[in-house]
Amino acid sequence: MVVWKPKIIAFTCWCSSSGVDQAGFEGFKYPANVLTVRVPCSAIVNPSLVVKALQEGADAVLLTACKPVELRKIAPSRITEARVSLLRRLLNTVGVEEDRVRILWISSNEGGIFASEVSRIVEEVEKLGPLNLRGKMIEQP
Amino acid sequence: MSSPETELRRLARSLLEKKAVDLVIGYEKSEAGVRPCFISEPNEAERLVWNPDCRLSLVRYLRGFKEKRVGIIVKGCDGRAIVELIKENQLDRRSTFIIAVECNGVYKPVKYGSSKLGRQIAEYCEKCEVRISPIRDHLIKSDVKALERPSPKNDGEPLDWLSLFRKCLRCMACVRSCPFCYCTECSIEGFKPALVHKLVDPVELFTFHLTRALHMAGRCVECGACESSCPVEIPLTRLYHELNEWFREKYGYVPGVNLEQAPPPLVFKEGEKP
Repeated sequence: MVVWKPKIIAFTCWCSSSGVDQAGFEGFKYPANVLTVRVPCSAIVNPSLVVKALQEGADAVLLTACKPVELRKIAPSRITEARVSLLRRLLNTVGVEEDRVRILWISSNEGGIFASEVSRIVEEVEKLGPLNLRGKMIEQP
Repeated sequence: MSSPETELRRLARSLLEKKAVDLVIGYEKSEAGVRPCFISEPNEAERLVWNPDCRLSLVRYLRGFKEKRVGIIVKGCDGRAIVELIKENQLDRRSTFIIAVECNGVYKPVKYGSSKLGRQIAEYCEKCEVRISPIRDHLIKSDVKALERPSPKNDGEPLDWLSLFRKCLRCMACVRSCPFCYCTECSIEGFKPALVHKLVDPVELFTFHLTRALHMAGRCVECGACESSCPVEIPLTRLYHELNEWFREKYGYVPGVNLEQAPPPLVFKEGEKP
């Protein structure tokens, strides 16, 4: 029997992806089921792409963003936060666990925090179980 | 007092005779109830009708007549749609003459073959609070008593949305009938590779409906155009209502009620931090 492991897609913004690199440099260990996609800014991630990731077989989607307090004048992370909160409400309505989409505040020097947070998230997603959207949508009642 | 229908015809005739408008968009009688009609001659104004079958939103047609002065017959929800479209710079208020008719709710569409007796008011009309368009040039009051409204159902019972999405035929009738789906390049069909293909992978229906819901969030005026044009009767308005509730809770914003209030995603206050 094949042991199921959660598959997590992480959209990392420019700054926090160097935080993810930091985790590698400093030798922190974090689960290998997180696949990172580097994007210029977390606010560029279209929520449709998050939904698409879930459709294509991801069990959870993670967005890492700069902390809004660290930005100078405008905070694009605020947009990301609002979008994620809206998307979670929508997922909750259609009957998908809302904890499958998360936001994580990571600065460029916080490799350790990234590693520990991701391990925690992987454990939580393991408890939620596989999403199996394809199975749910294709199965006939 | 004359009936709203007579008043509507008289108004449309006088507007066209005075050349205040080039065209009046309204409803006319057809075999299946009513259908939209475009009237440009004063003596054609007798074709206009007004009854609880006029559920279709005519705002969709306004963008096709950008060069003309258009008179349009609107219900409360259609008026809200016009307000939202003006905010999004899609309509010119000066070239539109808005004839608001007091709406008492519309009937659900008749299923093919079923009788027309004992028809029910649509579900989205039960929740409606705006019966008269918030923006108008002329108001026609209706003297008919409000349609029989069943006691407001508690819509707490959750629907099995995944199995409802499974029924979807991808006919795009919801997209084509919606007053807000005006993008010339639709993000659902326009991406390369496409976000949703027009093939038969059922799992893409999930992405399609969630994307559409996300695009309607904070804009949907719950006119029910998508729901009543859906051939498999997916109660889409209920899904969009849920997201509008999020906007109401977070920003206190109700789409289409106030012309001065900008949509929250477009507003940014300096120094605003979560």
